Amino acid sequence: MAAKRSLMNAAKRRPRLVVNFLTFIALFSIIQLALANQPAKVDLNKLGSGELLFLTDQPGVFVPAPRLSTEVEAEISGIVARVTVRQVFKNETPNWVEAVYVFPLPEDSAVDSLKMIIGDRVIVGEVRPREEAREVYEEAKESGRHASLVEQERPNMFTTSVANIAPGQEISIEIGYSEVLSYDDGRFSWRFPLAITPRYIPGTPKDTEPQGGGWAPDTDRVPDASRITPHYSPDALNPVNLHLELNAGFPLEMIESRYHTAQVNKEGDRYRIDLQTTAGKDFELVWRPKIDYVPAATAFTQTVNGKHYALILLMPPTRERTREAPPRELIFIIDTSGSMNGTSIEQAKRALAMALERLRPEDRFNIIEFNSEAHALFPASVSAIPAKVELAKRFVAGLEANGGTEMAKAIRLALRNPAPRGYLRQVVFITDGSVGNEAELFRLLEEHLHGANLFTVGIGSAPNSYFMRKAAEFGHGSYIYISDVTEVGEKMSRLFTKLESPVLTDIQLVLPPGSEVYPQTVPNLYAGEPVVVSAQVPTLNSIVAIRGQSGGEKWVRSLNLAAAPQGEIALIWARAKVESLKDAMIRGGDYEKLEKEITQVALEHHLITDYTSLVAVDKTPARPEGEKLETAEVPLQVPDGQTIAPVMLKASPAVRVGSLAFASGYPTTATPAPLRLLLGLAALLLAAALFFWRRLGVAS
Amino acid sequence: MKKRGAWLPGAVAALLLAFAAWQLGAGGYIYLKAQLAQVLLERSWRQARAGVTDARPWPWADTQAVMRLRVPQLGIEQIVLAGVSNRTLAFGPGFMLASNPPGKPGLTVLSGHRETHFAFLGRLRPGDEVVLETPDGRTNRYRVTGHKVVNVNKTRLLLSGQQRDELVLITCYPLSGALTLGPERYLVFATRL
Repeated sequence: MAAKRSLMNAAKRRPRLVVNFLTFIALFSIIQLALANQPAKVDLNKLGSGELLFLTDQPGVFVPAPRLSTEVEAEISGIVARVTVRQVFKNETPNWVEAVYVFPLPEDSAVDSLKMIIGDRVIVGEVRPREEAREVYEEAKESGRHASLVEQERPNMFTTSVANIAPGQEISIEIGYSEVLSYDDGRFSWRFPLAITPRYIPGTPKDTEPQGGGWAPDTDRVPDASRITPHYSPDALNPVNLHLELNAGFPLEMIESRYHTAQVNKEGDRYRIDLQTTAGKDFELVWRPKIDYVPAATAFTQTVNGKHYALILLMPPTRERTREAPPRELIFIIDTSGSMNGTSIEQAKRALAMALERLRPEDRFNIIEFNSEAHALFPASVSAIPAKVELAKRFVAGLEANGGTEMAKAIRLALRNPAPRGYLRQVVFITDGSVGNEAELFRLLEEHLHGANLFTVGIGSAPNSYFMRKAAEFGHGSYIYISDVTEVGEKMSRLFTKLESPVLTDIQLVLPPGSEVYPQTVPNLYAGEPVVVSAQVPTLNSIVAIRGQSGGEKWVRSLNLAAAPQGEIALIWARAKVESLKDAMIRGGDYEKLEKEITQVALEHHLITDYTSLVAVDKTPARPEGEKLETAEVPLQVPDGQTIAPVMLKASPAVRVGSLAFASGYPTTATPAPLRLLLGLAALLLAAALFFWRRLGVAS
Repeated sequence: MKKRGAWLPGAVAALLLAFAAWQLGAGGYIYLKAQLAQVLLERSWRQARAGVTDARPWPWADTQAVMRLRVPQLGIEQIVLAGVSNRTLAFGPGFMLASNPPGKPGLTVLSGHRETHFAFLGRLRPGDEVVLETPDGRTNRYRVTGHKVVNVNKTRLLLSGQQRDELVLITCYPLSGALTLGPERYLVFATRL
C-alpha cells in the first residue's frame, strides 16, 4: 500500500521532474558555454627582452590627478578648420599640483596659440625653441607662479603641463590650431582624435633617467618612449563637449557624424553640431556637397607681413578606364599585436577577408601576419586561384591578437623578394599603427619599397593617424580608416577602387618664379582624391597651372589666384613647409640644418613643432614658499573596445622599480577539458539514473 | 496517462546522452589534440633542426616548433611552439616570444596548459634537471631551484635589462581539481648550469 502510494506520487511528480531535468541541462550548458568562452583576462604581451622580476602587492606611489574636462570649438569654413581645444584642469586634491596631460590632435594640425585662463585673467602664450620654453616653464614652476607649456611629441600627440594649481583651483588651457579638411570620394571630412591607443615600444631600455612619466622606459629605438606612453585609468571618463560650426560654402546633400550620435542643426546655410561625449573614440564629421556644387578647384589666398600665400585644392579628372590594370601582386600585412585585441582584430579580419574576395585569378598575393614576430602565409606570393584563396581565408579566420608590434620585421618580410616580373606590387597594411618608432619605420619603407605602392588601412577606435598618413605617403599610396565593423564593406570597396590604379600621375605645378610650394613633389592621386598644395607666391596676380598624366593623356588645369577669396591660410603653408623639412630629415638630409630651418619657420609663424613649444607664464607667484608641489599625470580614458595591459593602468597596484622595462600579461594556461569531462560524466550518470528509474517504474 | 508521458523520460535520456557525448567528445578532443599535435610537431621540429627556417607543422599554422623540452627524471619530451596564445598552447607548450631564447643571457619563459603538457610541473622538485634543445642542436641544461604561486592581479610579470640566465615554466594554479581559469599561476624556476 505504502509502495503503491509512493509510486503514484512519483508518477504525479514525473512531469515536474522532467522539467527539472531539462532546466538542469540548460543551466549546465549555459555555465559550460560561459566558461568555455571566457576570454583570456590579461594577455597583452607587450614585451621587450630581459629578465623577469616579480613585484608583489606593494602599493604604488601616486598623486591623485586633477580632474580634466575638454571643450572643443571648431569653425569650419571652406576647406579650412579653425579649432580651439580648452582643457579644464580642476584640482580637487588638498595639495598644490602640477598636471601633465598627454593628448591627441589631428596629425596635420598647425598649433599656433596657447592661452592660460585663471579665473577672469587670460595669459597668452608665446612660441620658443623647445629647450628654452622648458626652462622658462621650469623656472616659473619652481618660483611658485602659474605656468603652462604645450609640447609636441608626435605630429598627432602633444603634452600640456600646468604648474602650481592650488587646491580647489581651476585652470583652463586653450590651444588653437588650423588644418585643411580632408576631401575624398566627393566628401569632406573633419576628424578629431579623442583617444590614444597605447603605443608599442621596441628596443632595449636605456639606463638613463626617463624623460617623461609614461609606462614605458626610454629605449635605444624610441628615445622618448616615456613621453608618449601615458597611463590609463580603468574608471576615468574624460568628458568632452564639442561644438562645431560648419560653413561649407555650398548646399549639402548629406551630413553625418560617423561614430557618435551628435545633434545637427541647420541655421541658414550654416550647420551647428553639438556633442557631449567622453574621450573613448575619435570623432568624425562627414559631409557631401550637392552634385551640382562639387568644386572642381578651390583656392584661398592671404597676405601677411607683405608675403602672399595661396592654398589650392583641385579635383583630378574623373577616371575613365582606358587601359586594363596590369596584373598585381598584393601583399597584405595584418597587425595581430596585443593592441589590436578586442573589436579591432575583428574589423581587420573582416577587411582582409573582403580583400581576399576581391582578388582576380591573374593576381598574385601573400599575407604577412605580425606581432612580436612576422610570419608569411606562403614563402613567396602565389596566384590567387580558389584553392589558395580558400587556404588564406582559413588562415585569416584563425588569427588572434596578442604580443608585440614588431612592424619592421613585417615590412622586411613583405619586401624581401623583388616583385615578380610584369606585376605591379601593392602592399596593403592593415593596422592600428600603435607604435612609437614611426620615423624608423618611414625610413625603412623609403629604403625597401622600390617602387611598390603602400596603402594603409587604419583600424580601431583611435588609430595612429600620423602613421597611417605618412606611411602611405612614403609608399606613394593612399589610406583609409575603418573604425567600426559595420563600415568595413564600404571602406574596403573604396580602397579597391584606389588600388585599381592612380588617376593622375607625374603631377607638376607651374607657378610664378620665386614661389615656394609644399609638398614639393605632389604624390600620385588615386580615385577620389584632390591635389592639395600651399604656396608662397611673389604676387597674387598670378595664374597657377597644374599638369599631370591621366590614363595615358595629358591633363592641365589652371587657376587665377587674383580671383580667389581670402582665408587664414599662411599658417597652413608654414605647417606644410615644416612637414616637408621633416620628411627631408627622415630621408637622410642634414639634420642640424633642417632643424634650424624648421625652428625658423616655426618662430615666424608661431607654430608648435618638434623643436618649438608654446609657453605661458603668470607674473606673480601663487604658491606660498614652503608648500610642496606634486606632479600628477592625468590618466587617459581607455579607448573603446580595447584591453589595456595592467602596466599601463594608473591604478595598478605595483610600483615601478629602477629601470624596469615591459610588463606582460600571463598566458592562459588552463583548458576547459576537465569541466567538459565532468559535465559529460554527470550527464551520463543522470541518463543512467533516468533509465533505471524508468525500468523500475515500468517493472512495478 | 502512462501513454501520454511515456516518451518524455526517453527523450530526456537521449538528450542527456547527446549532451554527454558532446562534452566527453569535446573534452577528450582537447587531450587528443594535445597528444596528436606533438606527433605532427616532431616532423616540424626535425625540419627546423635540418635548417628549414619556416618549418610549419601544418600549412595554415601560425606557429612553429622552436625548441624541445626534456625532463629526463620524469621522462618528459615535448616540442615547444612559438608564442603563448591559447591556440598555440592547445598543441604544445609555448615559448613567450618576448623572453630570451635559451643560450642568450637573460630569461626564458615557457608556459603550458595544466591539464595536458604542463601537468608535470607539480612533480618537478628542486634539483631536477630541465633540458632545452634549440634547432641549432645545442642543449641548454637548467637545474630547478623552486616554485612560486602568484596572483595575476597582484603580481606583474616584468622584464628588465638584467643579465641572468633563468628559465621559468608557467602553468595555471591550482594544478588539479579546478574547473575554471583562476587568477593564480604556478611558476617553476630553474637556473642554467
